[in-house]
Amino acid sequence: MNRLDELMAELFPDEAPLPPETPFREYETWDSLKHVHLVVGIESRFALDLSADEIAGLGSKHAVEELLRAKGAV
Amino acid sequence: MSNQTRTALVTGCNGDVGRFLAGHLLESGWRVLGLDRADREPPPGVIFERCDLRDAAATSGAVERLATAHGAPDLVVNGAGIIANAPLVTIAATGGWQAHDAALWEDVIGSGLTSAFHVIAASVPRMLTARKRGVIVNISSVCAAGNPGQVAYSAAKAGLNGLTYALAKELGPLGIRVVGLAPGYLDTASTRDHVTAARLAKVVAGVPLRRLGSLEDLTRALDFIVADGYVNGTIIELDGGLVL
Repeated sequence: MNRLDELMAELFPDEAPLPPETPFREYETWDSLKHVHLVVGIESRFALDLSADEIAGLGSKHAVEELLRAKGAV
Repeated sequence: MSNQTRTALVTGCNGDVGRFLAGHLLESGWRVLGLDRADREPPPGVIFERCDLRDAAATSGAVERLATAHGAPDLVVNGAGIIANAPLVTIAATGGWQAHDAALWEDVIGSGLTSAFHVIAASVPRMLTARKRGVIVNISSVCAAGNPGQVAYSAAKAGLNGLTYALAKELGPLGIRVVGLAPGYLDTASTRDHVTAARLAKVVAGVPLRRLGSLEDLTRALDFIVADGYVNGTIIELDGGLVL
């Protein structure tokens, strides 16, 4: 399991993973607190300092993967 | 405590919990006085005055009018309060950090904690003047232990518990008991409005009794507190064994 999958499993321990393109808000347990944990989790696990624009674009796992690739973090 | 001609003051009587408690007390033969700022209709049979309980002067005036016209309360149930689902920080649509709204914090603390202080401060002198022994029941919550995502609500309920402990010691020698009643997740419309179905399912799975609390559970606990003359200065957790 890669670092992003580990983070997803921590955020949604009781839900089956949705397809990567599915917006995070489609997860039943998604809320504003999980949004905070997602962003902080990405920054800490991948040693990144994300800009507001980058954070605003993190609407799905696919979007996160694209950003990580663009920043050379994976 | 016999409830013949006894008078109860219930705050938040237009909400789910307060409405049910007021109705239960009416059915049990109490005269029920009600205070609430909400626009909803008060429960039938309740002697009601609309009042913003965050306002000390307004609350004092309302309690004074009700007690003068209908008698000092033997029982005060502080059920007023609002729930707010808001973490300390969130992420704005623009991607930046956004701190908890200060006005929302003030409203939650004012509605759930300061209101109880004002109501008690206005009621106790009337109870003492009438030489009444009585009981004050503060409707708290297991969220007082700290529920992530509900920082203001948790703080309001924790403050209410502190108020309960302190006043039980101050007022006990005067013949007035003060008790907290802290439900877990109750099966009410308000709960379903503020907690997702998925979250509720997880909550139920974490309750050893495998169900949400009911409003009938709450009234049974209220009846016990009123009837038992020795329970004082404690918070009765009514949560089916749930640990947050």
